Amino acid sequence: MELLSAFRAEFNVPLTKVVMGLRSAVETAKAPVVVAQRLKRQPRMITKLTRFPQMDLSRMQDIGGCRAILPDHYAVKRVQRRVERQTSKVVSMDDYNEAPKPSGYRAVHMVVERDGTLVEMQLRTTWQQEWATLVEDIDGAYGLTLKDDEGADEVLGYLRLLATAQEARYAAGRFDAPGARQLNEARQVAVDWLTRRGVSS
Amino acid sequence: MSVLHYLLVYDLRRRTLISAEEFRSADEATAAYGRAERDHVGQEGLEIVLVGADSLDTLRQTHGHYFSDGEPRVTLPELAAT
Repeated sequence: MELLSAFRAEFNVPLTKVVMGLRSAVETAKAPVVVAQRLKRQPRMITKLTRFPQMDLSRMQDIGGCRAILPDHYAVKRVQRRVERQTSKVVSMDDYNEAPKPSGYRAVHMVVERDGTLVEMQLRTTWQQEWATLVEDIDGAYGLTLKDDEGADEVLGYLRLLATAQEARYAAGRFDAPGARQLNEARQVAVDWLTRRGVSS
Repeated sequence: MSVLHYLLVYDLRRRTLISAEEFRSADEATAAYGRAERDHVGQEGLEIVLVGADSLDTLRQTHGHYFSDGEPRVTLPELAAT
């Protein structure tokens, strides 16, 4: 545990540098600067190593992570292009707006290399952030791991629909909106399932 | 802009933030992070995380999960009629 903690501490300086770059990219994109960083929790690092036993810790891409919350997809695109231009080493880019995760999670993730370490950047719109917060709240309250795309279809089905509905509402024209009735029925299924499960104690 | 580091201790079941210790030094913050995790090892109801931003208010927007309302049940949003 001491070793893991010391290893993680090495990410702090490069992470802070990447955050400065991200802040500057957001400013240039003329968006409000809502940017934060976090060092991965040790239990999450261990869970990830257990889920992907072949994973090399030094290549874990999100020990140092940062996040910008942006008003809309136009701002996300502007920031993304800015980061690509200012950072020579974009190691990978995952556009979960084009291909959402099974849970319905949407964002743009970029991994950049800085001082020999990898740092993950997440670009989310405000509504995507609200959705992701909801998922974390449910996971915490009910002892679930929906965040990792694992869990009952009763809940994941609702979350997927909700994410699509939000995109349809805020990014009009890009998606077909599920009807209010369809979403609210899915919501009831999720509520029933969660009620049966009960909050963790 | 200097980063303020916050060591958050969050109670998952009560859905409340127990503490938010502020650090200006990244080294002190990471050392405290490791210590806090060691002190609470195995306590699955607690989430301990080190986050940083220009202010606690920014963190409310970027890491809202740690600033939830303390209600035991999570309210699932409905789709309001458009």
